[in-house]
Order: sequence, then C-alpha cells, then structure tokens
Amino acid sequence: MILESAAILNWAIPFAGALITPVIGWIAGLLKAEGIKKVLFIIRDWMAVATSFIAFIFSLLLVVDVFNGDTGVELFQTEWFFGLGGGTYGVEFGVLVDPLTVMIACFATGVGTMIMIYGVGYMKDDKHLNRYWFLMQLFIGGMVFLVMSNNLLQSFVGWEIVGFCSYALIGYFFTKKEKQDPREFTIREETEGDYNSHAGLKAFVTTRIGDVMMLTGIMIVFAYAGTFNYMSLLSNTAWMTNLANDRILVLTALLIFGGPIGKSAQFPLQFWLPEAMAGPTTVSALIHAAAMVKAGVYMVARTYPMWYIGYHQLGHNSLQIYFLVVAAVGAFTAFMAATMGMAATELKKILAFSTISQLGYMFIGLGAGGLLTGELGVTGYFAGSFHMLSHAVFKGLLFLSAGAVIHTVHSKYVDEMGGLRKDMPKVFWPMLIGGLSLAGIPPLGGFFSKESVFGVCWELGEHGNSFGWIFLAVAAISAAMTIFYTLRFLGKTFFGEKTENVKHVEKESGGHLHKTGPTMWIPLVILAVGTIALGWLSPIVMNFMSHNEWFPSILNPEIIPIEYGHFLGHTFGFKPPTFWITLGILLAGGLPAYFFYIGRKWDAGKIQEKSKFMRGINTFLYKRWYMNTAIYWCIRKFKRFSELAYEYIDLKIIDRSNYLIASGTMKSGEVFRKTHTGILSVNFIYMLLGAIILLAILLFTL
Amino acid sequence: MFESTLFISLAILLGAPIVIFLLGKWNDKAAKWSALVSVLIAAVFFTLTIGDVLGVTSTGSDVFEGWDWINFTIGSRTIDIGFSLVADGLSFPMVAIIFILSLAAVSYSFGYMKNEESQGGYYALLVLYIAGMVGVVLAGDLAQFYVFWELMLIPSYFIIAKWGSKPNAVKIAFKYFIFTHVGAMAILIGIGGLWAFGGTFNIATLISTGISAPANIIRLLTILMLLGFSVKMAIFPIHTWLPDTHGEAPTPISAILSGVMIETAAYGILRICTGIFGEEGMGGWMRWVLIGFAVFTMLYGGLMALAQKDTKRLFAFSSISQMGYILFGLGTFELFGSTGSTFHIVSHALAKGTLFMVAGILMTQIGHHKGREIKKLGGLAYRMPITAIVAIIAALSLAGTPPLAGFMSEWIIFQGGLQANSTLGIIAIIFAILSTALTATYVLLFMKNVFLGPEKEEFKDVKDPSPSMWIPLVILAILSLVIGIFPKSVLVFVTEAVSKIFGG
Repeated sequence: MILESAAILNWAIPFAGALITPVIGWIAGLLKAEGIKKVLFIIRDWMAVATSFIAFIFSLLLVVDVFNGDTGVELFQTEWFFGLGGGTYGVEFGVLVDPLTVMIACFATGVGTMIMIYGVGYMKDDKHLNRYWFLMQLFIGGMVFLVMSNNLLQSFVGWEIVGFCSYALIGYFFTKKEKQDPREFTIREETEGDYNSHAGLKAFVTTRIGDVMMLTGIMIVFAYAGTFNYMSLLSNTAWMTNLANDRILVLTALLIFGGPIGKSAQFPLQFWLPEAMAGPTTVSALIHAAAMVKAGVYMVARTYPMWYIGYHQLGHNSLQIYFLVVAAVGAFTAFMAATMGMAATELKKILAFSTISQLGYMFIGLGAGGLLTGELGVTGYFAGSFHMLSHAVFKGLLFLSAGAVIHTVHSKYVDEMGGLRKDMPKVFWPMLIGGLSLAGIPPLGGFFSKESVFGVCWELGEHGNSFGWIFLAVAAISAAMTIFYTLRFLGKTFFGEKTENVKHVEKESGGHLHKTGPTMWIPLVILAVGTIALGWLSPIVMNFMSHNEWFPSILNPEIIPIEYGHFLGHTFGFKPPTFWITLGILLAGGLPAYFFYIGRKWDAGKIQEKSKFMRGINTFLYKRWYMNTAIYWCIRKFKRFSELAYEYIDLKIIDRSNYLIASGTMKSGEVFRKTHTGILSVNFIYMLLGAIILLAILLFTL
Repeated sequence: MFESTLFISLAILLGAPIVIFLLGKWNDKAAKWSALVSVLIAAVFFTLTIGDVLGVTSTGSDVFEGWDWINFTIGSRTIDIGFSLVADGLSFPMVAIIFILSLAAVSYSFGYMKNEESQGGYYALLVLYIAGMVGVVLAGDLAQFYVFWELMLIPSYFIIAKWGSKPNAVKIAFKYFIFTHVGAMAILIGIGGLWAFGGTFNIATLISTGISAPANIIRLLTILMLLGFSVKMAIFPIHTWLPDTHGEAPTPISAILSGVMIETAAYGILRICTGIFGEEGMGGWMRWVLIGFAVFTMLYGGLMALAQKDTKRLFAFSSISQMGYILFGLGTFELFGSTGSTFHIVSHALAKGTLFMVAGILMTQIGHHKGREIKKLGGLAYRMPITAIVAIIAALSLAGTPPLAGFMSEWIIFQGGLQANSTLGIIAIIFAILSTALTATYVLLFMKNVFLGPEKEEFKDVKDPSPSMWIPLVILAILSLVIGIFPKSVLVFVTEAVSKIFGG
C-alpha cells in the first residue's frame, strides 16, 4: 500500500472539516471587522471544497493500491466494544479496501468535490451556510465511512449518518413557504407551509422503515455468525447453513435487502425521493443522485458474494428467491418510475424519477447476475457497479445543470422554460451530454453501463431462465421511456420558443439572462468530460473491479484479469442482439420525443385535449399512480387511529377504570361507615351476634 | 482507595436537606447553591470508587461497605438486617447517571424555579429525593432497599403536590403516591418471602446461595416483585400515573422521574428478579410473558405519543415506550438483553432528561401554558439555536440513530431477543424495532412542529435561556454522542457485572 492511512483519512478529513466549519463561522460571527469576516467566510466555504478534494486524492491513492493487488485488505482493526454475551462476542472497528469500496469512495468524493465547488457559487447568498457546509462535509465523511467499513454494524452507523444529513439538508430551507404543496392534490388540509421540513421528515421516516428491516437482518446474521465482519462472513459460511436449517436464510437476506429498498428508493418505499427535491440543488445532486441513494446498491453488492456463494456453492436454493426479488423489484421500479418521469412537470422531479428508475437498473443487474453461474455471475456484479459509477457522474451533472437553469429562470417547471440553448451554452452542452448519457446513446458512459445490464438479462434468458427475458423486456421498455423523458426535459428547457416566464425574467434583469458564474459552469464541464471519458474508460473500470478477492473462489482463475476483448465480447454482455435491441429502443422512444419536444412538430397538449384516454393516463402518471395518495391516506388514518386510541382506550378505559376502582373503594367505605354508628345498643347487638357465631363454630367443630 | 466513600457520599445527600432548608429560610440563593454544592461533593466522593470498581487500584472486587443495622431474635429465627452499600459494575453506571442528571436538574432549576415560592423547601426535597435514588441503587440489603425505595417516593410526592402545575397538582401527586405505593407493597411482600425462604436480606448472599423454595413459590415471588417494579416502570396497563405525573411535575423533576427514577425499577428487576430468582423465576414462559408485555408497551407508548398535543405528555408516553425496550432486554433473560437494558438506562436518561428540559425551556421562554402546546409553536430553530441543536441530538438518540448512545443500547437489547434463536424471538424483534421507526416519527414530528417550519411573528423575541439552563443540556447531549461513539465507556462496567448476575 502506498499510504495505509489513506483509507482512514479519506473519511476522517471531511469529518474534521465538518467540525471545524461551525467554529470558523462562529468566530466570524463574533468579529466586527467586515473585511476579516469576509475572508473567514471564504476560508470556510473553500475549506469544504478542499476537504472533499483531499479525500478524493486519498481515494485515488487506494485505486493504485487495488491495481497493485492490495485487495480485500483490512486495516486499523481495533476492538470497538467487547465482552458482550459473557465475553464471547465483540465488535471491531476497521476499514476494508477492495474495488467496490474504493470505487464508491472515489465517485462520492470526486463528484462531491465538483458539487462543493458548484455550491460555493450556488449558495453564496444564503445566511446559514455554517449549517450547510457542516452537513455537506459530514455527508461526504459519512458516505465514505459507510463504504470503507469492514463490518455490517459500522456500515450501519455510516448509513444512518448519511440518512440524517439527507433529512437535515432536504429540510435546509425549513422556514420557506412553497407556492405549491409538494403533496400535490393528494391531501388538502390546511398547511402551515412547512413543506421542506415535511419532506425531510418523510424521507427520514420512510427510509427508517427499510432500516428497521435491515437492522433486523444484520442482527440475525450476528446471532448466527457471531460477527459482523464482511470477510469473516465470507470465509466461514457455517452460519448460512444454520440459517438454512432454521428456514430463515432467505428471510434474512430479504430483510437486509429492506434497507436498500428504502435508501435507494425502490418500490414500495420509493415515494420519498421526489419530495426530497425540496432541498438545495447541490443536495439533490450529491445526496439524492450521486452518493447516498447508491448506499443501497452498495449494500446489495457488498452482500452479493455471500448470497452468491450460499446459492451456487452451498446449494441453498431458497436464495434464488432473494435474487429474483432483487431483480424484480429493480425491474418494476425502473418501469414505474420511468412512466412517472414522462408526466412530471418539475425539472428536478423528472430527474428524481429518473434516478429511481436508474437505480432499478442497478438492482436488475445485481439480481439477474446472482442467478447466473460461474464467470457469468460476475457480469451482474460488474453491470450493477458500473452503472452505479456512470450514473453518479451523469446524474450529478444533470442535477447541477438543472440547478443552473432553475437559478436563471426562477422557476422549477419545465413548462416555464424553453429556448435557453443560445443564452446559456455553458449549461446547455454539458446538460446535453449528461442527458444523452442517461438516455444511453453510444459511446457515452451511460450506454455501456446500461448495455451491460441488458447483457446480463440476455445471458440469463439464454441460460434457460425465462425470467431473464422478462427482465430484459421491462428494462428495454423502460429504456425507451428514458430517452423519451430525457428528450422531453431537454427539449422543453433548451429548444423551442422562449416562454412568457423566460421573457419576463429577461426583461427584469435588463434584456439578458443572468450569467452562470465560473464556479458553477466549470464543474459542469469537468463532469461532462468525465461522462464522455467513462464510455472509453469502461474496460479499465472493469479491470479494476475484477481485482476482487472473492472472485477466485467462484471463477476459473485463468479468466482473471478479464481482458478487454473478452469482457466486451462476452462477460460484459456486449453482444450484437442486445446492441440491436438498444438501437431499436432508442429509435422507438427517441423519435416521438424528438418530434414532440425538439422539432416541435407535434403537440402533446393538443393530443391530450382531444383524447380523454390520453388525459386520463397523463393524470394517472402525474399523480404517481396514486401511490402517494394511498400512502398519505394510510398515514392520516394511522394518526387518527392513534388519537382515537388515546381518547378511548387510554383515557376512557384504562385511566377511567383506575378512578372507578378508587371511587369504588371510597363508596364501599361510605357504605360500611354506616355500620359504625356509635350507638351503644347497636354495638351491643353486633357483639352479641359475634358471640353467637363464635359459639356456633365452636359447637360444630368440637 | 478511601474508606467509606460511599457512606460519606450518601450521608452528605441525607444530611444536606436540613441545611438547605434552614438556609432557604434566610436566602433563596444560599439554598440553591448549597444544593448544587452538596450534590457535587457527594458525586465527587462517589466517583472516588471508580478505581476499585474497575479493578485498577485493588484486586477488582466490588466496593462494599457494610454495618450491622438491626439485629434481634424472634423465637428460633434471627432477623439480621445489615446496612451495606455496594458499588459494582451495575450500580456504578446507574449512580453515575443519577448524579449527572441530578446535577443537570439542580443547575437547571436555578433558572426554571426562579419565580417560585419557598425554594429552600424545594431544593431540600430535591436533594432528599436524589439521596433516595442513590440509596436504592447502592443498597446491598433488601430491607434497606425498601426503605430507600419509599424515601424516593415521599419527597417527590411533596414536590409534585406543591410545585406541580396548577390546578391538578395535588390530585395527580396523590395518584402517583397511591400507584407507586401499591407497587411498593408488592415488593415488600416479595422481600418478606425472600427472607422466609432465603434466610437473609443480603442481596449478595441471596444471589450466591439462591433460595430453597418450591418452584411455584419462586414463581409467585417473582411475579409479585415484577408487578411491583412494573408499576414504577409504567408497563401497560398500569402506566396511567406516569403521563399525568411527568406532565404536571416541575420540569427538572420530570427529567429526573423519567430519566432515572423509573429506571431504578429496571435495576431492581435485574438485581433481584434475574439475580436471585434466576432461571426458576425468569426463565421459561415468564420470558415470553415479559417480552409480550414489553413489545406491547413500546408500541402502545409510541402510538400514544403520536397522539399527544402537549410536549411534556408526549415525552411521558415516550418514556413508557422506552421502558418497554428496557423490559424487553430484561425479559429475554439473557446476557445481551440485560447488558443492553443497563446500557439503555444510561442512554435513555441522557436523551429523555435533555428532551424534558427542552420542553421546560419552551415553557419558561414562551409561557407556561403556550410553551407546551405543540400546535401553537413553530419555526423556533433560528430563535433558539442551542436548544434546537440539543433537542435534535437527544431526539435522534431516542430514536436509536447511530452514532448516538441510544442506538448502541437498543441494538444490544434487540440482539438479546435473537440470541435465543427462535422464530418467536424474530417476530418480537421485528415489532420491537418497528417501534423505533414509530419513535423516529413522533420525535421528528415534535422537531418539525416546534423548531422547524415558517417563523412566527409572535415568537420573534424568543431567545435561548440563561446559561445555567442550557449548559447542562449541552453536556448531556455531548455525553450522548461520546457514549455512542465509545460504547466501551459504559460497557466496561456493565458486561462483567451482568455476567456475574447470570452466575458467570
């Protein structure tokens, strides 16, 4: 290893930065001199950029280490707790270096640095930046901490740190009163305008439901294996056999998958992500596109070898269900979110649906891959992780560009944009590249990664599992919708005539639109270059991913490292059939979208006016299949239930019965009090009666 | 290290109230400072035992200070009641958290009680109350345990009746007294039974030798003891005294009530029921009965908390829910669960103490009635940033979010439910962990409705309170974080002591 401590410093430095930020801000707040104050604020802002960049450099050092063969290495192992369960169990603390870990650390910090630079410009007028920079750095630190951890419990700590940052940053503008209720048509109750904190709360609690399942799963694993350590869980698989004997192996696997469902916004817990867009755009880019939502994919990829070995080598066939569920959830979510994306009207919300849909692709790759045997099993792992990487880059780019557009036109609705191509070229070109990558146009990164997911499904179908064809069909239809909505938002934003709103904004700022500053467009250009480069770097990425310590146990060692040609031709699934499928999809989705939104030959509005059916579909999609409505209905009923239970069960039954007992005691006292009259003759009668009874008892017992 | 430090510590707490009361006749300021100083000195004396408890300075044995107290003979039997104080891995963290929370509460009272009458009496009773709790936990002898158990009740009764929120204070204090006293009676009968079959009141002797009684009798005694302790812990359905009491008591007292007093019952269950009765009392079906009540209590408490419109009642129901967690850990009758429960006593005390004091700050800064109605508050985070930050840390710790203390204790508790490797355990665990999602919902709803949301015109002059009120909170919040990151700091005491309880 070049620098062992790099594996700790790449999360410790952002954490340290997070702690220093409020101190600097506090000192600056105390100062009277405006000049020094300003300098301190600039230091605070750029320190956040610096800490993420340093973390990025350290992560890159680890890339070199992995290429040199230092993989599956555990560092800094120390006892964290000990002596549990009568001294038998302990939990350790340590970091793990392997390709998956390092790849995520790299894109989280790399894309993170770009977003931080962008944030310096984007957030510059905000008054509460101490909190912003604190949480952003805490997030980067937490995310890297989560992936670098060498055991499940430690990962869970990072998992919740990023969850908290997400909560706090979605609600960043918590005093803001939005024009439109994000709950949209679903409930109409009088509101205090607390939508941002509402959205944050929704995100936290929804992901919490997933976390509950995951924690249960983790603890079941611990109860059977006595350890949380990833490597120990892989090397000693007796625990899996014990779980299988108790018939809860697949339950445990699915419980752990519950966490990723929540965190990566998959069906049925996907409804928090669109509202999460209430936060600043940088937050949407970093947390809800590039990094945090990938934590779920990471967790599935991290546990993939365990379940893979359990299924294929130990013969626990029930795990087949697990992989099927992962792929099916992914496929369904990819399809569902893509349909919603076609009808959404807010730029960031379209991107949010797109994120949900793309995350679904990653799960298809991981799930379908797990059903394949031998070297093919690795393709799914590759496909899922590669799509995660390319998605992080292009979706980060898309969000940042969207932020620049929204910033300029003062509106988040795509219908209020239009014709911005000429006015903001520095945003248009990067966003176009990002969009085309999302749509899967060759030779951008998104094409290769999506293609690899198709390849895995194809292989699964070829190998006699007809689920493969279903997954492929769903993925293909969703991809057609992906290019449709991509061209839709690109077209509505940059092409066609300028809308009234844009003209109005133009007039207000003196004839031309507000210029995007260099701190904002330079990151865009860098990320666009990254998107293009990833297409060509894919062989290197695959080679990097193949340095995986668990591969030798399932693969023929001769195939490692996977060669460029081999991987493009076979392992990667880049086969002519899927290539032709892709082309067909792109045409099927792209052409209508082109005529509707870029060429503006057709008008979607008119079609809807004429056809009631189309209007119905549009409303159905716009209202997110009414799922959000249903959830809110349930939540409201639950709240009402709790209030009724409090009123009737707690107050009227339980508490009242206490008082009834008390007053009953009092009343019986009242009644018996009357026997104590104090009149001599009455007392004498009682005494006599008592004596007679005593005598009678004596008589009968003797 | 020193002789009789525990005794000196307790003696200071028992003696100080007289001085405080007399000083209070002359000057309120003298009363409150003498209260703070006396608790602080007692805490320092107590802390001197840390070396011995951890085995750094001596052979690692528990600190034991004992004397003969009452000794007489009736017929053929000798009643031999000792007075002994024991600091070991279980009682040390417990007493430590009592001292920490009490110091915070006393300091907090400076600001909170400043407009109240007869403060000398308040501080005197407060210190006596603290003495009761410390005495209960340190008691090495059952009779003495009972005496302190009642000593814990009486001063708090008077405080609630006199300084609680009008107009219900007297009625509610009476309810509190009756409920806990009935529980105490059950405990007293249990103690009598233990003496009858075990021949001694000494807890350590009883743990090591056990009692020789028929299985049914042991089960009966266990149930009696558990009933008594459950009243104090407010387990469903004997919980109704708690929301009333904790809601109407003066806030520093609510913090102590919720933070440490009701947990002394958990300590009692672990020491007496688990320690003395063991498998015959707590094992078998009793385990599932307790787990059932525990799971129901946590869900029920959470559900009720969701329906509350009053901050203090919300936290009171939340305490009921949290007592469910602790009972769950104890009910598993297993090392993990019991360790986790003891740990959770500490983390819950930190979190709930903080939250009650936050509720109190809202009451002093906004108004005694308006400040507790959740619906009327909102957007206070920029107005009172320190309070808001402290509140979110405590709220997240309560909801079991790592890396805060609440998470560490909760997962160890839940792990206990799984160590038994049974399907029933898994089902219980899923429900139990679901209640942490419920907890997250109600605490974050509290945060949203009180501190977040649009700022209101009427609150534009609201400020953070005086330092004597927020410094204790900041310390408690930092402790939550530190203990969460370094759980060793509590577990180093607990793990070994719990193994000893289980005869390891």
